[in-house]
Amino acid sequence: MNIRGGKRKGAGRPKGSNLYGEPTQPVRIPKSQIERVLRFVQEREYALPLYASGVSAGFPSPADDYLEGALDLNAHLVREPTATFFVRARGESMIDAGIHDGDLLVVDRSVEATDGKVVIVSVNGELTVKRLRRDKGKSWLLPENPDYPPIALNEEDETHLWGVVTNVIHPL
Amino acid sequence: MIALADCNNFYVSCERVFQPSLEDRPVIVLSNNDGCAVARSNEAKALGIPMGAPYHQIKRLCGRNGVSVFSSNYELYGDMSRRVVSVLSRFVPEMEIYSIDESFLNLGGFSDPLGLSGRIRETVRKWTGIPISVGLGKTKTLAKLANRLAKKEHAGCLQVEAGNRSTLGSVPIEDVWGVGRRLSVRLRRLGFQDAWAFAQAPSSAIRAIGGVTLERTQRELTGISCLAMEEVPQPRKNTCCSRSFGKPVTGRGELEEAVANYAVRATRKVRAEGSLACGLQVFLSTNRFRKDQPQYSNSRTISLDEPTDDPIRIVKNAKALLNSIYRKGYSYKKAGVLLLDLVSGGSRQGLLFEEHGDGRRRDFVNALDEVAARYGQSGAFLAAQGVRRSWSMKRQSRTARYTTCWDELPVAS
Repeated sequence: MNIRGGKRKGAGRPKGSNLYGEPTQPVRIPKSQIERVLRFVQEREYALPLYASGVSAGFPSPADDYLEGALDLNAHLVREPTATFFVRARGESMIDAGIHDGDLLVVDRSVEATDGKVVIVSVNGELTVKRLRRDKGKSWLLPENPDYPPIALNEEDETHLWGVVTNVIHPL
Repeated sequence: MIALADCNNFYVSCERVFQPSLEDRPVIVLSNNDGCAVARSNEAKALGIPMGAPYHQIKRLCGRNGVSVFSSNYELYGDMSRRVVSVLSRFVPEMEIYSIDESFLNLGGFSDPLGLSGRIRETVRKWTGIPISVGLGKTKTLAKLANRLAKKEHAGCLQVEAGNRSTLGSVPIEDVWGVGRRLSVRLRRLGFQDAWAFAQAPSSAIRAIGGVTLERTQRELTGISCLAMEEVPQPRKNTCCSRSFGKPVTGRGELEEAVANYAVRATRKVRAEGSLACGLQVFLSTNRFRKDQPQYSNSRTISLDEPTDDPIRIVKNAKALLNSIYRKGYSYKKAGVLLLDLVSGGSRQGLLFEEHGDGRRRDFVNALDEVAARYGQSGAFLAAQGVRRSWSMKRQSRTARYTTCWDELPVAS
Protein backbone atom coordinates (compact mmCIF):
# COMPACT_ATOMS: atom_id res chain seq x y z
CA MET A 1 0.00 0.00 0.00
CA ASN A 2 1.27 3.43 -0.87
CA ILE A 3 1.43 5.52 2.33
CA ARG A 4 2.21 8.74 0.46
CA GLY A 5 -1.32 9.18 -0.79
CA GLY A 6 -2.43 9.21 -4.41
CA LYS A 7 -4.74 6.78 -6.03
CA ARG A 8 -5.97 3.92 -3.90
CA LYS A 9 -6.83 0.70 -5.58
CA GLY A 10 -10.53 -0.15 -5.63
CA ALA A 11 -11.63 3.25 -4.33
CA GLY A 12 -14.54 5.21 -5.78
CA ARG A 13 -17.49 4.12 -7.86
CA PRO A 14 -16.99 1.53 -10.52
CA LYS A 15 -16.77 3.01 -14.02
CA GLY A 16 -20.10 3.49 -15.77
CA SER A 17 -22.20 3.02 -12.61
CA ASN A 18 -23.59 6.57 -12.67
CA LEU A 19 -27.09 7.91 -13.31
CA TYR A 20 -26.69 7.52 -17.03
CA GLY A 21 -25.22 4.04 -17.27
CA GLU A 22 -22.36 5.16 -19.49
CA PRO A 23 -19.03 6.99 -18.95
CA THR A 24 -19.31 10.72 -18.21
CA GLN A 25 -16.99 13.67 -18.57
CA PRO A 26 -16.91 17.13 -16.89
CA VAL A 27 -17.57 20.01 -19.30
CA ARG A 28 -17.82 23.79 -18.91
CA ILE A 29 -21.25 25.26 -19.64
CA PRO A 30 -22.66 28.75 -19.07
CA LYS A 31 -24.14 29.10 -15.58
CA SER A 32 -27.42 30.34 -16.98
CA GLN A 33 -27.85 27.09 -18.95
CA ILE A 34 -27.03 24.63 -16.14
CA GLU A 35 -30.66 23.91 -15.31
CA ARG A 36 -31.63 23.36 -18.91
CA VAL A 37 -28.73 21.02 -19.58
CA LEU A 38 -29.44 19.06 -16.39
CA ARG A 39 -33.07 18.77 -17.31
CA PHE A 40 -32.06 17.63 -20.73
CA VAL A 41 -29.83 14.79 -19.57
CA GLN A 42 -31.60 13.79 -16.36
CA GLU A 43 -35.18 13.80 -17.48
CA ARG A 44 -34.50 12.62 -20.99
CA GLU A 45 -36.52 15.64 -22.04
CA TYR A 46 -35.81 15.30 -25.72
CA ALA A 47 -38.40 16.53 -28.17
CA LEU A 48 -39.43 13.91 -30.70
CA PRO A 49 -37.69 14.54 -34.01
CA LEU A 50 -39.72 14.30 -37.17
CA TYR A 51 -38.07 12.70 -40.16
CA ALA A 52 -38.71 14.19 -43.53
CA SER A 53 -38.71 11.03 -45.54
CA GLY A 54 -39.83 7.45 -45.09
CA VAL A 55 -37.37 4.65 -44.43
CA SER A 56 -36.09 3.10 -47.64
CA ALA A 57 -34.18 -0.07 -47.08
CA GLY A 58 -30.87 -0.20 -48.83
CA PHE A 59 -30.47 3.35 -50.07
CA PRO A 60 -29.99 5.97 -47.35
CA SER A 61 -31.81 9.17 -48.27
CA PRO A 62 -29.58 12.25 -48.35
CA ALA A 63 -32.43 14.14 -46.62
CA ASP A 64 -31.97 12.09 -43.46
CA ASP A 65 -29.11 14.35 -42.54
CA TYR A 66 -31.60 17.14 -42.02
CA LEU A 67 -33.71 16.57 -38.95
CA GLU A 68 -36.70 18.87 -38.88
CA GLY A 69 -37.91 20.61 -35.73
CA ALA A 70 -40.39 19.18 -33.23
CA LEU A 71 -44.02 19.48 -34.31
CA ASP A 72 -45.68 22.61 -32.97
CA LEU A 73 -49.44 22.69 -33.35
CA ASN A 74 -49.44 26.44 -32.71
CA ALA A 75 -47.14 27.08 -35.64
CA HIS A 76 -49.24 24.77 -37.80
CA LEU A 77 -52.58 26.44 -37.03
CA VAL A 78 -51.50 30.03 -36.45
CA ARG A 79 -49.49 31.65 -39.23
CA GLU A 80 -49.66 35.21 -37.88
CA PRO A 81 -50.06 35.18 -34.08
CA THR A 82 -50.33 38.97 -33.89
CA ALA A 83 -53.41 39.00 -36.12
CA THR A 84 -54.96 35.72 -34.98
CA PHE A 85 -57.94 35.52 -32.64
CA PHE A 86 -59.99 32.58 -31.43
CA VAL A 87 -63.74 32.71 -31.88
CA ARG A 88 -66.36 30.27 -30.60
CA ALA A 89 -68.91 29.08 -33.25
CA ARG A 90 -72.61 29.09 -32.33
CA GLY A 91 -75.42 27.40 -34.21
CA GLU A 92 -75.66 25.13 -37.23
CA SER A 93 -75.53 27.54 -40.17
CA MET A 94 -72.12 26.28 -41.32
CA ILE A 95 -72.61 22.60 -40.56
CA ASP A 96 -71.81 21.45 -44.12
CA ALA A 97 -68.47 23.25 -43.96
CA GLY A 98 -67.63 21.17 -40.91
CA ILE A 99 -68.28 23.92 -38.39
CA HIS A 100 -70.36 22.65 -35.46
CA ASP A 101 -71.95 24.45 -32.56
CA GLY A 102 -69.25 25.13 -29.96
CA ASP A 103 -66.28 24.60 -32.28
CA LEU A 104 -63.21 26.74 -31.95
CA LEU A 105 -62.44 28.90 -34.99
CA VAL A 106 -58.94 30.13 -35.71
CA VAL A 107 -59.41 33.56 -37.29
CA ASP A 108 -56.57 35.37 -39.05
CA ARG A 109 -57.24 39.06 -39.68
CA SER A 110 -54.15 39.47 -41.85
CA VAL A 111 -55.49 37.13 -44.56
CA GLU A 112 -57.22 38.74 -47.55
CA ALA A 113 -60.94 37.94 -47.64
CA THR A 114 -61.30 36.62 -51.18
CA ASP A 115 -64.06 34.71 -52.95
CA GLY A 116 -64.73 31.33 -51.34
CA LYS A 117 -63.07 32.01 -47.99
CA VAL A 118 -64.96 31.34 -44.76
CA VAL A 119 -65.09 34.68 -42.99
CA ILE A 120 -66.22 36.38 -39.81
CA VAL A 121 -68.31 39.48 -40.55
CA SER A 122 -70.16 41.80 -38.26
CA VAL A 123 -73.76 42.02 -39.47
CA ASN A 124 -76.06 44.36 -37.54
CA GLY A 125 -73.48 44.54 -34.77
CA GLU A 126 -73.22 40.77 -34.32
CA LEU A 127 -70.36 38.55 -35.43
CA THR A 128 -71.35 35.87 -37.89
CA VAL A 129 -69.43 33.14 -39.71
CA LYS A 130 -70.30 32.43 -43.35
CA ARG A 131 -68.68 31.66 -46.69
CA LEU A 132 -67.87 34.75 -48.75
CA ARG A 133 -68.96 34.73 -52.38
CA ARG A 134 -67.79 37.51 -54.67
CA ASP A 135 -69.16 37.68 -58.18
CA LYS A 136 -69.32 40.54 -60.71
CA GLY A 137 -68.70 43.22 -58.10
CA LYS A 138 -71.31 41.84 -55.72
CA SER A 139 -70.77 40.01 -52.45
CA TRP A 140 -72.86 37.51 -50.50
CA LEU A 141 -72.50 35.61 -47.28
CA LEU A 142 -73.50 32.02 -47.89
CA PRO A 143 -74.46 29.69 -45.08
CA GLU A 144 -73.48 26.03 -45.49
CA ASN A 145 -76.86 24.70 -44.43
CA PRO A 146 -79.91 24.59 -46.72
CA ASP A 147 -82.14 25.80 -43.86
CA TYR A 148 -80.47 29.23 -43.77
CA PRO A 149 -80.83 32.05 -46.35
CA PRO A 150 -77.88 33.82 -48.00
CA ILE A 151 -77.16 37.42 -46.94
CA ALA A 152 -76.35 40.07 -49.54
CA LEU A 153 -73.53 42.43 -48.58
CA ASN A 154 -73.66 46.07 -49.63
CA GLU A 155 -70.52 48.14 -50.04
CA GLU A 156 -70.60 49.57 -46.55
CA ASP A 157 -70.64 46.07 -45.07
CA GLU A 158 -67.22 45.45 -46.60
CA THR A 159 -65.74 47.49 -43.77
CA HIS A 160 -67.31 45.04 -41.34
CA LEU A 161 -65.24 42.10 -42.55
CA TRP A 162 -63.66 40.93 -39.31
CA GLY A 163 -61.31 38.16 -40.33
CA VAL A 164 -60.77 34.95 -42.27
CA VAL A 165 -61.32 31.57 -40.64
CA THR A 166 -58.25 29.45 -41.36
CA ASN A 167 -58.97 26.38 -39.19
CA VAL A 168 -61.75 24.74 -37.23
CA ILE A 169 -60.93 22.87 -34.05
CA HIS A 170 -63.63 20.30 -33.40
CA PRO A 171 -63.51 18.02 -30.36
CA LEU A 172 -64.70 14.44 -30.88
CA MET B 1 -38.25 61.91 -38.89
CA ILE B 2 -40.09 60.68 -35.81
CA ALA B 3 -43.63 59.31 -35.81
CA LEU B 4 -45.96 58.99 -32.87
CA ALA B 5 -48.47 56.19 -33.34
CA ASP B 6 -51.34 56.64 -30.91
CA CYS B 7 -54.40 54.40 -30.62
CA ASN B 8 -57.66 56.36 -30.84
CA ASN B 9 -59.72 56.16 -27.63
CA PHE B 10 -57.81 52.95 -26.98
CA TYR B 11 -59.91 51.22 -24.32
CA VAL B 12 -63.13 52.03 -26.16
CA SER B 13 -61.63 50.77 -29.44
CA CYS B 14 -60.65 47.47 -27.76
CA GLU B 15 -64.24 46.96 -26.62
CA ARG B 16 -65.56 47.78 -30.08
CA VAL B 17 -63.42 45.16 -31.82
CA PHE B 18 -65.37 42.44 -30.03
CA GLN B 19 -68.71 44.22 -29.80
CA PRO B 20 -69.21 45.80 -33.23
CA SER B 21 -72.64 47.01 -32.12
CA LEU B 22 -70.81 49.72 -30.13
CA GLU B 23 -69.61 51.41 -33.35
CA ASP B 24 -70.88 54.98 -33.81
CA ARG B 25 -72.40 54.95 -30.33
CA PRO B 26 -71.33 56.75 -27.14
CA VAL B 27 -69.13 54.50 -24.99
CA ILE B 28 -67.07 55.17 -21.88
CA VAL B 29 -64.69 53.00 -19.84
CA LEU B 30 -64.32 53.58 -16.12
CA SER B 31 -61.17 53.45 -14.01
CA ASN B 32 -60.53 51.00 -11.14
CA ASN B 33 -63.47 50.58 -8.83
CA ASP B 34 -65.65 52.16 -11.50
CA GLY B 35 -64.49 55.57 -10.25
CA CYS B 36 -64.25 57.88 -13.24
CA ALA B 37 -64.28 57.93 -17.03
CA VAL B 38 -60.79 57.14 -18.35
CA ALA B 39 -61.71 56.54 -22.00
CA ARG B 40 -64.47 58.08 -24.09
CA SER B 41 -65.60 57.46 -27.63
CA ASN B 42 -65.91 60.56 -29.83
CA GLU B 43 -69.70 60.34 -29.42
CA ALA B 44 -69.28 60.41 -25.62
CA LYS B 45 -66.92 63.40 -25.91
CA ALA B 46 -69.56 65.17 -28.00
CA LEU B 47 -72.05 64.68 -25.17
CA GLY B 48 -69.72 66.77 -23.03
CA ILE B 49 -68.40 64.01 -20.79
CA PRO B 50 -65.01 65.29 -19.66
CA MET B 51 -61.91 63.11 -19.24
CA GLY B 52 -61.67 61.85 -15.67
CA ALA B 53 -65.28 62.75 -14.81
CA PRO B 54 -66.38 60.91 -11.63
CA TYR B 55 -69.00 58.38 -12.64
CA HIS B 56 -71.54 59.37 -10.01
CA GLN B 57 -71.58 62.86 -11.54
CA ILE B 58 -72.27 61.69 -15.09
CA LYS B 59 -74.42 58.66 -14.33
CA ARG B 60 -77.69 60.39 -15.18
CA LEU B 61 -76.30 61.99 -18.32
CA CYS B 62 -75.13 58.53 -19.46
CA GLY B 63 -78.52 56.99 -18.72
CA ARG B 64 -80.41 59.68 -20.63
CA ASN B 65 -78.22 59.36 -23.71
CA GLY B 66 -77.84 55.60 -23.81
CA VAL B 67 -74.10 55.68 -23.17
CA SER B 68 -72.59 52.20 -22.85
CA VAL B 69 -70.50 52.11 -19.67
CA PHE B 70 -67.79 49.51 -19.02
CA SER B 71 -65.38 48.69 -16.22
CA SER B 72 -61.71 48.51 -17.20
CA ASN B 73 -60.77 45.16 -18.75
CA TYR B 74 -57.01 45.29 -18.33
CA GLU B 75 -56.45 41.73 -19.54
CA LEU B 76 -58.00 42.68 -22.88
CA TYR B 77 -56.31 46.08 -23.19
CA GLY B 78 -52.91 44.61 -22.32
CA ASP B 79 -53.22 41.90 -24.96
CA MET B 80 -54.46 44.29 -27.66
CA SER B 81 -51.64 46.72 -26.84
CA ARG B 82 -49.11 43.91 -27.26
CA ARG B 83 -50.60 43.12 -30.68
CA VAL B 84 -50.48 46.74 -31.84
CA VAL B 85 -46.85 47.08 -30.74
CA SER B 86 -46.01 43.85 -32.52
CA VAL B 87 -47.44 45.14 -35.82
CA LEU B 88 -45.68 48.50 -35.46
CA SER B 89 -42.34 46.83 -34.79
CA ARG B 90 -42.43 45.10 -38.16
CA PHE B 91 -42.20 48.38 -39.99
CA VAL B 92 -39.35 50.15 -38.19
CA PRO B 93 -35.99 49.15 -36.81
CA GLU B 94 -36.21 51.46 -33.81
CA MET B 95 -39.19 52.27 -31.60
CA GLU B 96 -40.02 53.38 -28.09
CA ILE B 97 -43.13 52.05 -26.34
CA TYR B 98 -44.22 55.19 -24.55
CA SER B 99 -47.42 53.98 -22.93
CA ILE B 100 -50.09 51.31 -23.31
CA ASP B 101 -51.45 53.09 -26.40
CA GLU B 102 -48.59 55.25 -27.73
CA SER B 103 -45.29 54.40 -29.42
CA PHE B 104 -42.63 56.58 -31.00
CA LEU B 105 -41.21 55.21 -34.26
CA ASN B 106 -37.95 56.31 -35.79
CA LEU B 107 -38.65 56.82 -39.49
CA GLY B 108 -35.20 58.27 -40.19
CA GLY B 109 -33.88 57.04 -43.54
CA PHE B 110 -37.28 56.17 -45.04
CA SER B 111 -37.91 57.97 -48.34
CA ASP B 112 -41.66 58.49 -47.91
CA PRO B 113 -42.47 58.66 -44.19
CA LEU B 114 -46.01 59.92 -44.73
CA GLY B 115 -46.85 57.14 -47.18
CA LEU B 116 -45.32 54.58 -44.83
CA SER B 117 -47.35 55.97 -41.93
CA GLY B 118 -50.52 55.46 -43.94
CA ARG B 119 -49.59 51.83 -44.59
CA ILE B 120 -48.74 51.29 -40.91
CA ARG B 121 -52.08 52.74 -39.95
CA GLU B 122 -54.02 50.52 -42.35
CA THR B 123 -52.16 47.38 -41.29
CA VAL B 124 -52.73 47.98 -37.57
CA ARG B 125 -56.41 48.58 -38.28
CA LYS B 126 -56.80 45.46 -40.40
CA TRP B 127 -54.77 43.08 -38.24
CA THR B 128 -55.92 44.18 -34.79
CA GLY B 129 -59.08 46.19 -35.44
CA ILE B 130 -57.65 49.15 -33.52
CA PRO B 131 -57.74 52.56 -35.27
CA ILE B 132 -54.58 54.62 -34.77
CA SER B 133 -53.41 58.11 -35.69
CA VAL B 134 -49.87 58.88 -36.75
CA GLY B 135 -48.19 62.25 -36.22
CA LEU B 136 -44.89 63.02 -37.93
CA GLY B 137 -42.29 65.59 -37.05
CA LYS B 138 -38.56 66.17 -36.80
CA THR B 139 -38.74 65.83 -33.00
CA LYS B 140 -40.84 63.92 -30.51
CA THR B 141 -42.62 67.10 -29.43
CA LEU B 142 -43.54 67.95 -33.03
CA ALA B 143 -44.69 64.36 -33.64
CA LYS B 144 -46.88 64.56 -30.57
CA LEU B 145 -48.36 67.86 -31.76
CA ALA B 146 -48.94 66.48 -35.26
CA ASN B 147 -50.66 63.45 -33.77
CA ARG B 148 -53.06 65.65 -31.85
CA LEU B 149 -54.07 67.41 -35.06
CA ALA B 150 -54.17 64.16 -37.07
CA LYS B 151 -56.75 62.79 -34.62
CA LYS B 152 -59.02 65.76 -35.10
CA GLU B 153 -59.14 65.99 -38.85
CA HIS B 154 -56.32 65.01 -41.15
CA ALA B 155 -57.48 61.44 -41.89
CA GLY B 156 -55.29 59.99 -39.23
CA CYS B 157 -51.85 60.91 -40.62
CA LEU B 158 -50.20 64.30 -40.51
CA GLN B 159 -46.69 65.69 -40.81
CA VAL B 160 -45.89 69.02 -39.14
CA GLU B 161 -42.86 71.14 -40.04
CA ALA B 162 -41.20 73.30 -37.41
CA GLY B 163 -41.54 76.38 -39.59
CA ASN B 164 -45.26 76.02 -40.28
CA ARG B 165 -46.62 79.16 -38.68
CA SER B 166 -50.32 78.59 -39.32
CA THR B 167 -50.28 75.04 -37.97
CA LEU B 168 -48.25 75.79 -34.85
CA GLY B 169 -50.29 78.95 -34.35
CA SER B 170 -53.47 76.91 -34.21
CA VAL B 171 -52.31 74.87 -31.22
CA PRO B 172 -53.08 76.42 -27.82
CA ILE B 173 -50.07 76.55 -25.52
CA GLU B 174 -51.55 74.15 -22.93
CA ASP B 175 -51.85 71.46 -25.62
CA VAL B 176 -48.09 71.39 -26.20
CA TRP B 177 -46.52 68.21 -24.83
CA GLY B 178 -44.44 69.06 -21.76
CA VAL B 179 -46.27 72.29 -20.92
CA GLY B 180 -48.43 71.71 -17.90
CA ARG B 181 -51.47 73.69 -16.90
CA ARG B 182 -49.60 75.83 -14.39
CA LEU B 183 -46.84 76.72 -16.83
CA SER B 184 -49.32 77.53 -19.57
CA VAL B 185 -51.06 80.08 -17.34
CA ARG B 186 -47.75 81.90 -16.81
CA LEU B 187 -46.86 81.66 -20.50
CA ARG B 188 -50.21 83.07 -21.51
CA ARG B 189 -49.75 85.96 -19.15
CA LEU B 190 -46.54 86.82 -21.02
CA GLY B 191 -48.38 86.69 -24.33
CA PHE B 192 -47.34 83.24 -25.51
CA GLN B 193 -50.80 81.90 -26.36
CA ASP B 194 -49.96 79.20 -28.86
CA ALA B 195 -47.20 76.82 -29.94
CA TRP B 196 -45.87 79.25 -32.54
CA ALA B 197 -45.55 82.20 -30.14
CA PHE B 198 -43.92 79.89 -27.62
CA ALA B 199 -41.44 78.56 -30.17
CA GLN B 200 -40.45 82.12 -31.16
CA ALA B 201 -40.11 83.45 -27.59
CA PRO B 202 -36.65 84.42 -26.32
CA SER B 203 -35.18 81.32 -24.71
CA SER B 204 -33.99 83.29 -21.67
CA ALA B 205 -37.61 84.16 -20.84
CA ILE B 206 -38.65 80.52 -21.25
CA ARG B 207 -35.82 79.33 -19.03
CA ALA B 208 -36.85 81.83 -16.36
CA ILE B 209 -40.37 80.35 -16.32
CA GLY B 210 -39.79 76.62 -16.61
CA GLY B 211 -36.04 76.00 -16.43
CA VAL B 212 -34.10 73.87 -18.89
CA THR B 213 -36.93 71.37 -19.20
CA LEU B 214 -39.25 73.94 -20.73
CA GLU B 215 -36.42 75.35 -22.85
CA ARG B 216 -35.89 71.84 -24.20
CA THR B 217 -39.58 71.66 -25.17
CA GLN B 218 -39.21 74.99 -26.95
CA ARG B 219 -36.16 73.82 -28.90
CA GLU B 220 -37.98 70.63 -29.87
CA LEU B 221 -40.78 72.76 -31.35
CA THR B 222 -38.24 74.56 -33.54
CA GLY B 223 -37.07 71.22 -34.90
CA ILE B 224 -33.99 70.66 -32.74
CA SER B 225 -34.20 67.19 -31.22
CA CYS B 226 -33.55 67.17 -27.47
CA LEU B 227 -35.44 64.04 -26.44
CA ALA B 228 -33.81 60.83 -27.59
CA MET B 229 -35.62 57.59 -28.32
CA GLU B 230 -35.53 55.35 -25.28
CA GLU B 231 -35.62 51.83 -26.58
CA VAL B 232 -34.78 50.04 -23.37
CA PRO B 233 -36.84 51.03 -20.37
CA GLN B 234 -34.73 52.14 -17.43
CA PRO B 235 -34.47 49.48 -14.75
CA ARG B 236 -36.95 50.30 -12.04
CA LYS B 237 -35.71 51.48 -8.70
CA ASN B 238 -39.01 50.96 -6.92
CA THR B 239 -42.11 48.99 -7.54
CA CYS B 240 -45.51 49.68 -6.05
CA CYS B 241 -48.69 47.74 -5.74
CA SER B 242 -51.70 49.54 -4.37
CA ARG B 243 -55.41 49.61 -5.02
CA SER B 244 -58.44 51.39 -3.75
CA PHE B 245 -60.80 49.04 -1.99
CA GLY B 246 -64.15 48.13 -3.50
CA LYS B 247 -65.80 49.22 -0.25
CA PRO B 248 -64.46 51.04 2.82
CA VAL B 249 -62.47 48.70 5.07
CA THR B 250 -62.33 49.10 8.83
CA GLY B 251 -61.09 45.80 10.24
CA ARG B 252 -57.45 44.97 10.82
CA GLY B 253 -57.92 41.46 9.43
CA GLU B 254 -59.18 42.63 6.04
CA LEU B 255 -56.41 45.19 5.76
CA GLU B 256 -53.85 42.50 6.55
CA GLU B 257 -55.25 40.36 3.74
CA ALA B 258 -55.17 43.21 1.27
CA VAL B 259 -51.61 44.19 2.18
CA ALA B 260 -50.50 40.56 1.94
CA ASN B 261 -51.96 40.40 -1.57
CA TYR B 262 -50.27 43.60 -2.69
CA ALA B 263 -46.99 42.38 -1.17
CA VAL B 264 -47.21 39.11 -3.10
CA ARG B 265 -48.04 40.91 -6.33
CA ALA B 266 -45.23 43.45 -5.95
CA THR B 267 -42.78 40.67 -5.11
CA ARG B 268 -43.83 38.75 -8.20
CA LYS B 269 -43.09 41.79 -10.38
CA VAL B 270 -39.68 42.14 -8.77
CA ARG B 271 -38.90 38.47 -9.19
CA ALA B 272 -39.91 38.57 -12.85
CA GLU B 273 -37.27 41.26 -13.37
CA GLY B 274 -34.66 39.28 -11.47
CA SER B 275 -34.34 42.02 -8.85
CA LEU B 276 -34.18 42.04 -5.07
CA ALA B 277 -35.73 44.62 -2.77
CA CYS B 278 -33.66 46.33 -0.10
CA GLY B 279 -36.51 48.23 1.50
CA LEU B 280 -40.21 47.96 2.12
CA GLN B 281 -42.92 50.55 2.68
CA VAL B 282 -46.54 50.05 3.64
CA PHE B 283 -49.08 52.86 3.47
CA LEU B 284 -52.76 53.26 4.07
CA SER B 285 -55.26 56.10 3.94
CA THR B 286 -58.90 56.93 4.45
CA ASN B 287 -61.08 58.52 1.76
CA ARG B 288 -60.00 62.15 1.75
CA PHE B 289 -63.07 63.15 -0.26
CA ARG B 290 -65.35 62.12 2.59
CA LYS B 291 -65.00 65.33 4.55
CA ASP B 292 -67.68 64.12 6.97
CA GLN B 293 -65.52 61.24 8.19
CA PRO B 294 -62.42 61.29 10.42
CA GLN B 295 -59.28 61.25 8.30
CA TYR B 296 -56.08 59.32 8.82
CA SER B 297 -53.21 58.28 6.63
CA ASN B 298 -49.79 56.98 7.43
CA SER B 299 -46.87 55.06 6.02
CA ARG B 300 -43.88 53.30 7.42
CA THR B 301 -40.68 52.09 5.81
CA ILE B 302 -38.04 49.60 6.89
CA SER B 303 -34.88 48.50 5.22
CA LEU B 304 -34.65 44.74 4.88
CA ASP B 305 -31.56 43.26 6.51
CA GLU B 306 -30.89 41.22 3.40
CA PRO B 307 -32.06 42.10 -0.15
CA THR B 308 -34.82 39.66 -0.95
CA ASP B 309 -37.48 38.56 -3.41
CA ASP B 310 -39.05 36.08 -1.03
CA PRO B 311 -42.80 36.76 -0.79
CA ILE B 312 -43.10 35.02 2.59
CA ARG B 313 -40.50 37.30 4.19
CA ILE B 314 -41.97 40.37 2.55
CA VAL B 315 -45.52 39.51 3.59
CA LYS B 316 -44.37 38.92 7.17
CA ASN B 317 -42.63 42.29 7.28
CA ALA B 318 -45.48 44.07 5.52
CA LYS B 319 -47.96 42.79 8.08
CA ALA B 320 -45.75 43.98 10.93
CA LEU B 321 -45.48 47.42 9.32
CA LEU B 322 -49.23 47.59 8.78
CA ASN B 323 -49.91 46.73 12.39
CA SER B 324 -47.60 49.49 13.53
CA ILE B 325 -49.57 52.14 11.60
CA TYR B 326 -53.08 50.72 11.82
CA ARG B 327 -55.48 52.75 13.98
CA LYS B 328 -58.92 51.51 14.93
CA GLY B 329 -62.04 53.50 14.17
CA TYR B 330 -61.32 54.71 10.64
CA SER B 331 -62.75 53.45 7.40
CA TYR B 332 -59.88 52.97 5.01
CA LYS B 333 -60.09 53.54 1.26
CA LYS B 334 -56.68 52.52 0.08
CA ALA B 335 -53.53 50.67 1.07
CA GLY B 336 -50.35 49.77 -0.73
CA VAL B 337 -46.96 48.14 -0.64
CA LEU B 338 -43.80 49.65 -2.09
CA LEU B 339 -40.61 47.70 -2.64
CA LEU B 340 -37.66 50.08 -2.56
CA ASP B 341 -34.08 50.26 -3.80
CA LEU B 342 -34.27 47.33 -6.16
CA VAL B 343 -30.91 45.76 -6.95
CA SER B 344 -30.19 43.14 -9.54
CA GLY B 345 -30.21 39.57 -8.27
CA GLY B 346 -26.55 39.18 -9.10
CA SER B 347 -25.47 41.58 -6.38
CA ARG B 348 -27.09 39.57 -3.62
CA GLN B 349 -25.25 39.92 -0.37
CA GLY B 350 -25.35 37.25 2.29
CA LEU B 351 -26.19 37.91 5.90
CA LEU B 352 -24.20 36.68 8.86
CA PHE B 353 -26.86 35.49 11.23
CA GLU B 354 -29.70 34.32 9.08
CA GLU B 355 -30.10 31.25 6.97
CA HIS B 356 -29.95 32.62 3.49
CA GLY B 357 -30.06 31.11 0.06
CA ASP B 358 -32.41 28.47 1.40
CA GLY B 359 -32.92 26.25 -1.62
CA ARG B 360 -36.12 24.65 -0.38
CA ARG B 361 -37.78 28.01 0.21
CA ARG B 362 -36.77 29.01 -3.30
CA ASP B 363 -38.26 25.84 -4.77
CA PHE B 364 -41.44 26.42 -2.81
CA VAL B 365 -41.83 29.98 -4.09
CA ASN B 366 -41.15 28.88 -7.67
CA ALA B 367 -43.76 26.15 -7.34
CA LEU B 368 -46.23 28.72 -6.02
CA ASP B 369 -45.57 30.95 -9.03
CA GLU B 370 -45.97 28.09 -11.46
CA VAL B 371 -49.26 26.92 -10.00
CA ALA B 372 -50.56 30.49 -10.03
CA ALA B 373 -49.43 30.93 -13.64
CA ARG B 374 -51.19 27.77 -14.74
CA TYR B 375 -54.36 27.82 -12.66
CA GLY B 376 -54.77 31.52 -11.98
CA GLN B 377 -54.15 33.56 -8.88
CA SER B 378 -56.62 31.46 -6.91
CA GLY B 379 -54.78 28.23 -7.73
CA ALA B 380 -52.25 28.63 -4.92
CA PHE B 381 -51.66 31.50 -2.53
CA LEU B 382 -50.44 32.25 0.95
CA ALA B 383 -53.02 31.89 3.69
CA ALA B 384 -52.25 35.47 4.69
CA GLN B 385 -53.80 36.60 1.39
CA GLY B 386 -57.21 35.47 2.56
CA VAL B 387 -59.95 33.58 0.79
CA ARG B 388 -62.98 35.82 0.57
CA ARG B 389 -61.25 39.11 -0.20
CA SER B 390 -64.36 41.17 0.38
CA TRP B 391 -62.24 44.32 0.06
CA SER B 392 -61.20 43.62 -3.52
CA MET B 393 -61.77 45.94 -6.44
CA LYS B 394 -65.15 46.60 -7.98
CA ARG B 395 -65.40 45.87 -11.68
CA GLN B 396 -69.10 45.49 -12.11
CA SER B 397 -69.49 45.87 -15.83
CA ARG B 398 -66.28 44.36 -17.14
CA THR B 399 -66.62 42.76 -20.57
CA ALA B 400 -65.28 39.29 -21.38
CA ARG B 401 -61.55 38.65 -21.57
CA TYR B 402 -61.94 37.89 -25.28
CA THR B 403 -58.30 37.17 -26.04
CA THR B 404 -56.82 35.76 -22.87
CA CYS B 405 -59.39 33.34 -21.49
CA TRP B 406 -60.72 30.19 -23.23
CA ASP B 407 -64.09 30.46 -21.54
CA GLU B 408 -64.70 34.03 -22.64
CA LEU B 409 -63.97 33.97 -26.37
CA PRO B 410 -66.08 36.08 -28.74
CA VAL B 411 -68.94 34.17 -30.35
CA ALA B 412 -69.94 34.07 -34.04
CA SER B 413 -73.25 32.57 -35.11
